[in-house]
Formats: sequence, structure tokens, C-alpha cells
Amino acid sequence: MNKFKIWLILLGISLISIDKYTIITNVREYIAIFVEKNISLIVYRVKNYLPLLLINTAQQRELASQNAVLKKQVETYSTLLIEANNKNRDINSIKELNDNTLYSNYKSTVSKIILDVNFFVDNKLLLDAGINKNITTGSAVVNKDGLIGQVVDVNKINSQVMMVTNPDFKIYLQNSNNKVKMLARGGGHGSLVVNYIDKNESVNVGDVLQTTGLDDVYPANIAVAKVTKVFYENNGFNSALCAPVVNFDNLQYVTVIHK
Amino acid sequence: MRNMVSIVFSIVLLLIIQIIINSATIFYVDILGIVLIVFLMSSEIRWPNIIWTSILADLFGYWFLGTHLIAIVVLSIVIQKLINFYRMVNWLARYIFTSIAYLCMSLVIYIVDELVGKTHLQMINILFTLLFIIPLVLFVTRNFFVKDTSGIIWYD
Repeated sequence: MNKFKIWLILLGISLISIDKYTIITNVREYIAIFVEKNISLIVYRVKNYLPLLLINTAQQRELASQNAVLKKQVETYSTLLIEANNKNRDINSIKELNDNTLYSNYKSTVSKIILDVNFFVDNKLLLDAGINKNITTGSAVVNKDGLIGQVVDVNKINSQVMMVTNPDFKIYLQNSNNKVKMLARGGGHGSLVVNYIDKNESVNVGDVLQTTGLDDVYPANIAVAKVTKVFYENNGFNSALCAPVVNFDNLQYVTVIHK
Repeated sequence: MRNMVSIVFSIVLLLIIQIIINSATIFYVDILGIVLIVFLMSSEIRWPNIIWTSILADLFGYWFLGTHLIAIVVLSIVIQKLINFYRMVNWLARYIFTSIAYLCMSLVIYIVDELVGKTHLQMINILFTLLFIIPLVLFVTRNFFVKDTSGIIWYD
């Protein structure tokens, strides 16, 4: 029996030697790693299946709320970006105007328009600057394109602007081509009307009407409107229908100019 | 023959448990090593079965082929006189006896591993085996390998 056990020990030593110095070890290790990997994968899936199933609804709800918040943030930031770009553009254009010494005798204050549909329908605008920024009633409101209107009411932090298209708005203008003077008033619905134009005075479609500078309110040579239609009236005078040069739909920052 | 089928089924079951424990936990256990000890104490299982089981145990572990064979042969020399005593005592004594035998076998395996330069022995694994795996193996193999006292007297 002892001889048999000695033979068994020798067999064991032989097996160890064969295993150690041949490819068998590598094959066994490869199989062991493969089995271990797949069992770990199965265990992981089994362990996580139920939690995934249960948490799914709550997670989805949380993700949806996070998405809504993110969407809102993106919208806010994109609006702020557009506003910042527009502000830079408007301020640069206003600087250009100042460089041209168009308003050299006037003080200017940059102001933001508070969008309000009711005001816009009434051909009025609301600004975020008031007495706190030295704005007074009667100040002109312009941007790089031309005249927007006139401040008609001021409180501590806001100003109300009557746009050039308001039926109550009246202004003395001149034709940029031949300097013929005329009185214009707002016509509502995004237009200005000039009445009582002498038939001998040349006013044609496409002419740009600008401020005269004869009053103390508006600096000279600011574009106000472009003639879109000239027609004869029974009272012996011509009348002209004009469109403002400023696109009121795209207003964001304006300059209030005052003495 | 029917008993042999049950033994093979038990070995396969324990082997699967060993693979799952080794792969899915931090423990590295040697269930077939314990089965070998139980084989050694049993009168039914002979050396051919021990040789094949020891090679199977090496095949599904980190050991070199033949390590378990050397360990179980050395162990058989040491505990040869205690086999009849083991077969007669109750479950607690069997548990203690198997644990001591397992520690001896682990020591031999550790020495062989040190000699061939491939040691993976960790105390946490030994403790886990002593506290959980040995009772499990003894429970699974209780009907197959260890007879009661009357059976020993009858067959011997």
C-alpha cells in the first residue's frame, strides 16, 4: 500500500511538472477567465434586473423633469445671448452715430425696450429708463436707422414713448432730396401721413423724409420715413403716405437723446 | 449503481457551487478538496475515484494538476488510523475532524504551491471554508459517504 502511495505521489509530481512546463496552464487559465467573466456578467444582470425594473418609472420621471429644466435653461441662455448680441450691435451702431457727430449737441442715454403688446398696439413703447437716468418728457428716441418717437411720459424708472406712427404724433420734416419742408403726422397701422403738399413741390415715391433740426427736440437730418404713395386730394393739395424707416418689430435697444 | 449516480450528481452540484462562489464572490473555496477528505474517510470510495476527483479538483482551480493528489496521499498517511473513529462519531465531531483534516490538506497544498511558485492562500478563504463550506459539503454528502455505526459493523 505504501508503495502504491509513493507511486501516486510520483504521479502527482509528474502532473505538476507537465502542467507547469506545457501549454495546459495557459489553456486552463483562459477557460477559467472565460467562465469567470460570463458568470460575473450573469450575476450582474440578475442582481440589477429587478432594481432597473422598479426604478425605471421614477428615473424616467426624474429625467423628464431634468430635461424640462435644461430646456428652460437653454431657452433662457439663448434669449440672453441674442439680447447680448443685439445690445452689442445696437450700442456699436449708436457709437457710430456719435462718431458722425450727428448728436454732438445732445446727451444720449441707451435704454432697453420693455416689450408689451398693449403698448405696441397703441403705437407706444415702454423704456426701462426714467428720471433715474435723467430722461425728460419730450426727449427724442432714435436708433441707427432713424427716429422712433418721442418720450411723452416719465416716471422714476420708466418712460413712455409715442411712436412716429401714433395718430397723435406730429413732426416737422424735410425731403432729403430738395429740402422741402412739410408737416407729418402718424397715420396708425405702421404709417405716416403728410397732408397739404403743394402741387409745385416735388415729392416722389421713395424719397426719404428727415428731421429739419429747426425745433429743439430732434437733431437735424435724422431719417424718419420713406414715401410710399403720393396722391392728389380734392382740396388742391397733394398728400403722401409714408412708411417709417425703423423696423419696429426688431427693436431692442434705443437711444434717448435730450439737451 | 444508484448510489454512484447520486455521488456523481453531488460532485457535479458541489463543483457548480464552487465555480459560482469563486467567480461571483471574493472567496476562493476548495469544495472538491473537502469531498476528497470525505472520500478518504469513507469505505465505499476507492483510490481510482480519489485520483479522478483530485484531478477534477485541480482542473477547476488555480492549482497545478496533481497538487490535490499529493495532498490527499500525504493526508491519508497521517490520518489512516483515525478513519474508523471518524465513521462512528456524531456530526459535530465529524465537522471538527473534517476541519482539521482540511487544514492539514491546505497546509500540504500551500507547501506544494510555495515550491512551484504559485500561492493563493488567504485566511479569509480558509475561515469561510471552515464556517460555511464544510457544513454544506457534509450535509450534501451525509447519505452517501458516511455510514452509521451499525452499517460499519455489518459490512466490516
